[in-house]
Amino acid sequence: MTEREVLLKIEDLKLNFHTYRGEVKALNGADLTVYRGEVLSLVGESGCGKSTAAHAILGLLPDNAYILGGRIIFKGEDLLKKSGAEIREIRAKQIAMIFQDPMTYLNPVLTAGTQLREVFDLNEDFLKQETILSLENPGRKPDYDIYLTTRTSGETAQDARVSKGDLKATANRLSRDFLTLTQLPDPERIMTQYPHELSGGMRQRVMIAMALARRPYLLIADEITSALDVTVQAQILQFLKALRDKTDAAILFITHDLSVAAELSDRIAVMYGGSVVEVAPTAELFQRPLHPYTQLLQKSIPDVRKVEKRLDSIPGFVPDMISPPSGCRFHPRCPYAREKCHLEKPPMIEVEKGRFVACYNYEVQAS
Amino acid sequence: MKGAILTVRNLKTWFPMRGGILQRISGYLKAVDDVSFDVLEGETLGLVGESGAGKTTVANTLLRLVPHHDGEAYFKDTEIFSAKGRDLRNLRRSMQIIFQDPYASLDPRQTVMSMLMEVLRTHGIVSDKSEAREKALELLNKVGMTDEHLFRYPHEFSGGQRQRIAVARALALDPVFMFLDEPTSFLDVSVQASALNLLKDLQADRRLTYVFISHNLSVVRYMSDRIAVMYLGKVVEIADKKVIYVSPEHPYTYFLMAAIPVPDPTYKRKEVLLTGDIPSPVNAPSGCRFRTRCPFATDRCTREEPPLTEIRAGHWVACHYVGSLDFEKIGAGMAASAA
Repeated sequence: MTEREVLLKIEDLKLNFHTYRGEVKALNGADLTVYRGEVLSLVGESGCGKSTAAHAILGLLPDNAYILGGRIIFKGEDLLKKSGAEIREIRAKQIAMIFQDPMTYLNPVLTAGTQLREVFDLNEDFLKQETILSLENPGRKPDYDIYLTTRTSGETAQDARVSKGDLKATANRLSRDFLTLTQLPDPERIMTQYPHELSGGMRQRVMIAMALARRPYLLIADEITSALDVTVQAQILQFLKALRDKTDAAILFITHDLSVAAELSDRIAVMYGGSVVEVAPTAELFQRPLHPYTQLLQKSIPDVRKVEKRLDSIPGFVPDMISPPSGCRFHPRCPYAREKCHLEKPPMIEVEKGRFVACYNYEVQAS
Repeated sequence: MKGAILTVRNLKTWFPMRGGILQRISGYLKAVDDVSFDVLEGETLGLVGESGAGKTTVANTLLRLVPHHDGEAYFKDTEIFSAKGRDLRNLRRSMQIIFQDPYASLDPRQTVMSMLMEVLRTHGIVSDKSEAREKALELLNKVGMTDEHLFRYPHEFSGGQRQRIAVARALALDPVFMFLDEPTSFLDVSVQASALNLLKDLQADRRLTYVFISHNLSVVRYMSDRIAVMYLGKVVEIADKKVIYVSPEHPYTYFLMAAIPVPDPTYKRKEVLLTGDIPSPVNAPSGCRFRTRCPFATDRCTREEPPLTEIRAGHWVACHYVGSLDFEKIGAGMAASAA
């Protein structure tokens, strides 16, 4: 396999939230690399910083967040140095995010169709080009996969003249196409409906359609199946798998559920207490987890295929991020903790090809 | 064979929907519609189904937290819905519930101590303060917490600790029966296992009977002895957990099991997926409620509602075509059409 193209690289990101109770040390030197076209799952418990990292990528942090250091390199440029307008441009065309609760993301007073068409207003070049293509060839059958694999600059469309009516018709057609792509039945009707008229699974699909309509290089999915029932979750996962196989868009899939991550991802990054503690290809992570946290976590989740006599549980509780433990933040719960672990945060090291772990237990092998 | 501690017969919980100027009842939301089951002494009965299936409403109705519409239920020899006075008081002591959301179920303005004392005193379990304190501490120790936690407020605890406090409060009355309504769904994965183990230990220790409600089917399998599957206000299948997970007979159970994610990347899931979502209980489909999503549905399913029948000892299924459906075949067909 050839060297893969790095799409996004988070380096040593440190971030605090100001709250009246004190500084919440949400990210404590997080490192993450996303390659083009892969599905990377970011797994961790609530408060471990996985959503914060995602919001930092898109410049969606609340006002009380302070970035203390680090870089977020997307296609060679540092997103943290971008202006508000530049970040908005990136959000419109290059990185799209889907959230856990579609009801707070969708506008309750606009129909699904209106909200989808808005996406194309932000992407005029694409809309113009599609319009020209469909005018030249009225019977054109759109190939959805191509929407996501070829991202034209829209040069040909720059000065072509197309009527507003044609643009509108194309926006309508594209909206319908993208809804169809997410396997929604009866997209025509859904476009005329308001979010409250749709079920949770349907809303989630409308949101996915809006994200895909931007033809992003990177799709960030933040706990998108957690609020859904298992049968609907399975439908969405199946769709995302198809998307992975057919397009070159990378997916950063954020979840607390290792089982869901197992099903979908090429690689898994495990987060704990504000930093990434282990990164590995999915199969290897499950076969032989390296970090003590990953090992314990894997043993503590029930597997529906077997009847466990008793689950192994991880002692202690999730750390309070206002006064987090010193050194390695997992050390109070870690059975292998040594003195060094109390003192200094272990760096992330590559112990084997493609396998990264931040734990002093692996220092010896690495050197 | 153990006896039934709770017997539920034809339970209906219908919420009236009002409309018009006179606010007349225009229809009913049939959240629980004609449900019957038994819970045996000392067992854990898992109650599973998707959101809107009526699992929580069953628990709330049996605890008389919401009014029932019709049907009867016996706890030991007491009829729950007609119980009054001392009988009702005893019922309240014997049957407890752990709610899903430990952030909503604890009073933010009460310390753990006063919370526990309130329960103990209301039911006259302790006579004075020092005894109450002793008992409160004993309860906290039972759930793995210490005296340093006694005088703290709920906001000082994590979700896992709060849920332990809720368990301690439920245990204060020495119940014999507990509804566990999604007790770990608000907890983090790393503390879920210890909470589940705690509940198992308490059950063994105090010979408790549980009804364990959850949409997480892996957790239900770990906790339960028998499982009842609900769909849109109906119980569609009841059986031993092994039977439910290995050889389900109702098509809904089959599809539900096939949809469970497995923590193993080498596992190839059967590519059989249910399409669509659960319909609204306000105008539920006629006949069999599952027919709109069932690939086997026929005219008969539209016309007639299948009764819950015992096909083998202890295995109840509500389907007209039970035993004659070939799930594997439909699975292969679906996979082919998907490819």
